[in-house]
Amino acid sequence: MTSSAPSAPALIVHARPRATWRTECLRAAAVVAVSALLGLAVNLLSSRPVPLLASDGPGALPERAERIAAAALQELLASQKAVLLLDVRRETVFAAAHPTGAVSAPSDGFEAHYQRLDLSNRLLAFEEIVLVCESDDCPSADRVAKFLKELQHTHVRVLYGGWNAYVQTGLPVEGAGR
Amino acid sequence: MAQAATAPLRARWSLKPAVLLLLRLALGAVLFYAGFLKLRGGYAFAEAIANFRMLPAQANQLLAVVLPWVEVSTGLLLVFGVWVRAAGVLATLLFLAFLVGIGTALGRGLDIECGCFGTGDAARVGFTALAFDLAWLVTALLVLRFGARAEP
Repeated sequence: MTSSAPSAPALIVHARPRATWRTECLRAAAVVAVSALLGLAVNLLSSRPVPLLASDGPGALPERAERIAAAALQELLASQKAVLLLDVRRETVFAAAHPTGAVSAPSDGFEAHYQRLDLSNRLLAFEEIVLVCESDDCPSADRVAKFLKELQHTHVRVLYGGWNAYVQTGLPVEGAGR
Repeated sequence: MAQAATAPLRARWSLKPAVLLLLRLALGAVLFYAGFLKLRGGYAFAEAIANFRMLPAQANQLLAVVLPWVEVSTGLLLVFGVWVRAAGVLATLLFLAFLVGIGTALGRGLDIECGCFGTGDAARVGFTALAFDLAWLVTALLVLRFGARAEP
């Protein structure tokens, strides 16, 4: 009698059926399948759907735009040429510190900024347009350069080394700096 | 005898239900939040994934459409305690994939935006993002290992 008593609670604990790993994996697959269907449906109804089969859509890396070194930019700014610095970094980062005289047009949603700032007309007044991004590895700036070139703004280059190189070269900065 | 020997070992490695609940809720909340933020900008998120230079364009675009919903669904399952082990499997796979993405981007010296919490997040790929991902991966593993006990 005394020996059978301790085994009773253990029986209760293990009586509850537990799903096998196969069941868990099937459940996980079901979650992924339902999520995929939801995602595809919402994407279809979106105002700006992601093209799923396009090889040159947003999922593709843009062609690397022409670069300009910070030292060359320094000379360009000192020349008589009309140069526009287009800062494609985030607005919050721009607000903290940015190149003197630069215009903020973040790469995220650049097309909207292009319309809002009336860049189609404003850019025509400049001989050179230099895009400033965070660092040299800036596919976002390459996308902006591609977009501008498609709209016939041909004198577009990306600052090699981006904002970091700009500051290190000692070019004029507005804001608190970093 | 064998059962008697393993019982204390199991007890030593178990987590208190309150701690487990907290971990599960935190993991669910972070996944839901990260996925929800990505839902709003599929196009920009596809660009953010492309910046990692790991997959072809079509795969990046499909990921941008599907991944946020997987995160949201997994997060909701964890928060509500439904199919916890299945959600734990998904969370572990998600954070493992993020770990590979961030780790290889760091290894290749890419200075790109993380996109971890959508494209509105200015965080860049770096050791901070890697450490956060590791912490969440450990949490996901703990939930996967012990989380089923909290399942209704």
